[in-house]
Amino acid sequence: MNTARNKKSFQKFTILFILVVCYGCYFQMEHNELSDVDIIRVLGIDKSADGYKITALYHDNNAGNSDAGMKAMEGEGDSVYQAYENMKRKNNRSLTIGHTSFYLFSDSVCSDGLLNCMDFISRDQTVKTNASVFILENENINTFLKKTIDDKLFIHESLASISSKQKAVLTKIDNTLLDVLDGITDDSKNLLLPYLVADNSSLYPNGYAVFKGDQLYDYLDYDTSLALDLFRKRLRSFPVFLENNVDLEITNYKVNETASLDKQNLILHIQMSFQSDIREVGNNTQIFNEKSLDALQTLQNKYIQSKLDEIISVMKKEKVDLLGIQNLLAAQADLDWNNIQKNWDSYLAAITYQYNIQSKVAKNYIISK
Amino acid sequence: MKKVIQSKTIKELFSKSTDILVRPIELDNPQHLTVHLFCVDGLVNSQLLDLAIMKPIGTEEGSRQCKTQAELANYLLNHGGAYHAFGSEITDFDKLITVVMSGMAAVIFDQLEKAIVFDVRTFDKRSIQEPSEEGVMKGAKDSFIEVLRTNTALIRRRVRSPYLVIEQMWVGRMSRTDVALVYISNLCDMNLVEQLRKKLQAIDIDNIAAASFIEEYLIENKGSLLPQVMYTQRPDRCASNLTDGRISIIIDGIPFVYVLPCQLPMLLQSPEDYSENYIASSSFRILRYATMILSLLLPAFYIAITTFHNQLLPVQMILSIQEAKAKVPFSSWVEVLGLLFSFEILIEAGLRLPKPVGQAMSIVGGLVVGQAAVTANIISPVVVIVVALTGIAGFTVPNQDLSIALRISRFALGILASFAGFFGLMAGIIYIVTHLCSLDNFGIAYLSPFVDCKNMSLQDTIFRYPVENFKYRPDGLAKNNHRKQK
Repeated sequence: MNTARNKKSFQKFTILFILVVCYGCYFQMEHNELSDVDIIRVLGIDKSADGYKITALYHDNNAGNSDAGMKAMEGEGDSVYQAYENMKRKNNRSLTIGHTSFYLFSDSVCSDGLLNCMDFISRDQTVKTNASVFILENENINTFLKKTIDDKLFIHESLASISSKQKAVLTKIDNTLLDVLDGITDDSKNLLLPYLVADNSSLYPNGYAVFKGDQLYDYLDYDTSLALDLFRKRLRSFPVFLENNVDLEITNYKVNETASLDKQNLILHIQMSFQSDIREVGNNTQIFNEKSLDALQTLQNKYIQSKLDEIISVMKKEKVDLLGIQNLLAAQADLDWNNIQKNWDSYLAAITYQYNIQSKVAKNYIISK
Repeated sequence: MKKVIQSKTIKELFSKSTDILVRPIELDNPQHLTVHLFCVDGLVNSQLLDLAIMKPIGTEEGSRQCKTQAELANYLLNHGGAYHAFGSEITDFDKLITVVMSGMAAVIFDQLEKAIVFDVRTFDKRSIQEPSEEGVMKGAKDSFIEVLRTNTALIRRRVRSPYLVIEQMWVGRMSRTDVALVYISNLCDMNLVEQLRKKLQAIDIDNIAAASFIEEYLIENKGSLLPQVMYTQRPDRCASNLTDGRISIIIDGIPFVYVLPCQLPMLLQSPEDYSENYIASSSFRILRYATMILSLLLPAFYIAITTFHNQLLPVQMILSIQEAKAKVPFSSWVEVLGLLFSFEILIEAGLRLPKPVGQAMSIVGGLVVGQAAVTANIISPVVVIVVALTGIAGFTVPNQDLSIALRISRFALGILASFAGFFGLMAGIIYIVTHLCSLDNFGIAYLSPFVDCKNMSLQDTIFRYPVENFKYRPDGLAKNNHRKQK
């Protein structure tokens, strides 16, 4: 009888406890009806002598899903958080960056250091960690975004298309918010972020921006960036344009890198083998014989080697580790990585590169000639 | 003072009732033996009464040769004097009244202070029809009716074991409702039978007006919304549960049978599951479990996610919901709980209305009111979809008692979610799960065989294994005879 009574008392107590706790939580938790919230889709951050300027593109609540309902708002402050609060104050409704899929940073922000503006974003518990981060080259983000609104151009759709295309072209995407935060704090590699170029209110990717630590260092051109993705094993395919008017596409490739130490000199062995498909043969060039195909293979090997040379020259000149060599060295147990890491800059400048490139051209003709 | 069986006493007792017949039958013999016929007009088969009892007593030579009432009683009972197989002797006055009120006819022997009763019952009864709730395509189409004897016969036809016991008693001081305890004596736990017998005998109430009158006395956890006794309209399902070691309770006047002990997986089984291929049955069972959870959690989930955790929704969905809710003056929780309440009103109204009007009511309620509410921006279309899906999901649960429990619980979860989002919802879920785990039914866990599972008892829960895998009876039942199949 006592057990039954105790059980009933415990049940009543549990119900009461849950109700009291939930009632208390009601005042602590952020509860906003969906109709009272403005969803920020794109967030851009600029920096000037006056401080930070945040520009946000959001959907106008009443227009709902219609793209015609996109609007821009801005805020300024000495810090990114202050600018954000300034923007919130000006807006009629609550704001949320929980659905912000794209972050745009200008050159000025990146040159000053990404960590300063990423800190605020990283501390928001609702932020989308897989949001994409882009750099906007030589452009004031606030002006640009406002212009796209005036021109009724849907920049968030352009950014979404760019992201989709990235996923189609690359096997691995590393310009998400989480990757960027990791990359900024990771000393073992240089952060590479895709940068966009504005062209008449539209955007297109033009390569990678190289960072040293969290500060923007330089921009790589499109070709070098593409070749870099090839050697980082991230491209699904790579176009090859040869001088003899034959264009090919590398569809299947392997890249192996090993390092060795020879009397305080690092030697990096890069072995690449790939298969390419012929995409276009211009000027009636006859290539479908054994001799021509061999020549073609030699030509494409040289082409790839030249791309690699370009990357290496940038690495040596700018002392940036574009190929992720530090990670490779750290993973190799036969090398004293701790010692190398202490003098990494000097080692990087003096690395000897040895290549071995092999290829094969697959015959590719649907409509034979 | 204990009453003795006397015709005079009975006449005085029923002096004002015109349907009670207490009529003397005087034999045409030198002793002028007189016995009295006691029956209820309307409950007895007059023709059978005349042919089987009146005629033999009045006209047969064997009767006339009896010199004393004792001889006559012996002749009628033991020497086939009455042309009726089911005759028995009663010496208890209360018992006599009970059996005659249930439709039997009694021949009273004043001198012996006893009566012989014959089962000549007849009354208008429903024919055996297809079950209204548990219909199947490929299975039997008979169901229990309101008459206890017919129901016991239906069970006997399916369980022809000599160990099948049908223990009959009556419950209710005024109603004296016949209740039968049915079990297979070499399978079930006799302690449980004894427990149930005592519970039934301990019921001290005037009238058993509805089945729940007895049900509430049987269940152990009265504070729980969840059904702790299963009911079925199907004799085959009842027989199947009896052979598993369970016990059935049949109540006269109620067209279904109780089966206990009851566990949650039983409530989600449908008779159709055993008529179809086991892969198809398993698929539908998984669907049933999923829809049960959906029915319970969807409204609260919607409230939590739109009020507290909108980051979990895809952007396009948020924008659609925002557009839909743009002119709605109420917050999400008011919309959802209000519409759920309206849904309950519709269901209740549908139950009360006559069938022709009920159909029109469904159309008016569902289409017109729902559509009008959306057009008038009282509620948003998304909420209509959520509540409609919740309602439909709830109706896939085969057991109506469980469905009702779900309908009530979703209000509670919705309120918790409106206060504290997923935290409140989780608190509610934890409470429900804790309650489920703490519930047991006559010593067997309510969640059995998901808990307390010793043997391979999971073969008939979420998945229905092939019949050849049903080797053991459920855990906790039939402890002395656990193996069901070789």
